[in-house]
Amino acid sequence: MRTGLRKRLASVLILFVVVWPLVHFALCKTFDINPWKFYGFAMYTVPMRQIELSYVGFTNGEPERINPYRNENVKDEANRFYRNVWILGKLYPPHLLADQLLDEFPQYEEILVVEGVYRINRETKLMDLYQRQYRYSRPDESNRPSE
Amino acid sequence: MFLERVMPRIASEEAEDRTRRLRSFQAAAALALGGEWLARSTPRIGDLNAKEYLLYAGAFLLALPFLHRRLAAFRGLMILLFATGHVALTFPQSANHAWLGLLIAIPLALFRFDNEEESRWALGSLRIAFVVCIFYTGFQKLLHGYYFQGEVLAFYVSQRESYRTAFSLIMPAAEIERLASYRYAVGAGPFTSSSPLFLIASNASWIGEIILPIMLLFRRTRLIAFIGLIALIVAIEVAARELYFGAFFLMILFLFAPSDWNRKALPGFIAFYVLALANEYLKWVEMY
Repeated sequence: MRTGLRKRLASVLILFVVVWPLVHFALCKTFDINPWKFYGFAMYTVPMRQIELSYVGFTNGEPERINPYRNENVKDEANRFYRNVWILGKLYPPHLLADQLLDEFPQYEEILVVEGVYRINRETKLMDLYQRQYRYSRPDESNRPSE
Repeated sequence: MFLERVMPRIASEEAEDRTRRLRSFQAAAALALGGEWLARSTPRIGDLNAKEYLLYAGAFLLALPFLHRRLAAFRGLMILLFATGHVALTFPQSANHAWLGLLIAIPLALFRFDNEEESRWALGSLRIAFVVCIFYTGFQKLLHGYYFQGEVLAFYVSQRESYRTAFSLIMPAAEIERLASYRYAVGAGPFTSSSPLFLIASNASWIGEIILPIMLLFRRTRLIAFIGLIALIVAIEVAARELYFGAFFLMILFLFAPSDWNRKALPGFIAFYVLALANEYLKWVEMY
């Protein structure tokens, strides 16, 4: 490989290193990706992320909590979802897990997935839980999730 | 091209000096990447998964050039392979030092150190990458906005003993006690402190991370920035105890030293990784 090409490759690397953290910040703000991950030089900008996930099934409108980790057929996807949503935030919506939950629990006509992310409230300085919800109905009744 | 004009200023040492520094740093980087993996993984050698065994074998390969000098010619490639494998096999969970390793590995593998022009670009690229890295750690803190009232540091004082010990020097005991009583729960807080020294420390950290790396770029201010960054890294590690990360950062920072400090410090770094391995078993110090 010629010196010129090596220099061009290094220039691309430097350009990437200069631009990527700004993209990373935009991804954090837009899609709530974990600032500690993907090397945006943003470790310790916020407390290490802690999330709380809850799952609710509805029968005739009556809510009931679901524990997907106790079900052999969905626990792998539930664990994968936990690991990935912790990092990827909104970029990893629970579509696949919800489909599996609807298959596995035919008694529910609707599944609600609630993702909670702990953050320090900038104004009060108190710990807060910021939530987003995804609602899934059976395919014949509905549409894709509403957030 | 802009970088063509910048490189001679950033890597202005004599060609021989550059080559020496790059070789020493390459050895130090191999030690950092392989040493951390071996130290962290050896205590749970029976429980590693297939990917981790692969990386474990790769970490051993990184040690070979220390035993057989002729293999040193392949060290850059070995570091690149290991660093790429580390990021790829652990993605998307990849640790930040895995990414840092990859960032450093590319110039080390790309350029020939015995070529005058390429050694300048190798050293210059590594220095620029480090400067950008430190600058953004401060700039990201500014953008995210949790350092003005010390929110993040107050949170870590509440969660980790090492932070409480470090900040006990500049915070009233009652404040530390108050923060230590908080759990990771809704309504906990407030995560801040009225202690002036604490607020100065919190804001000095991001301001220092922005200003000091810029000062590294200029010969006139390089030495003071170099000393300032050593002090900053030591101060951070006293509280955060990310000692593997801190050791690797020091190695990269030593590229800016008045002489080839990585060569002089190599025995010290080797001792550090041996002690780190012992610490993984004996748990003398909490390390992250």
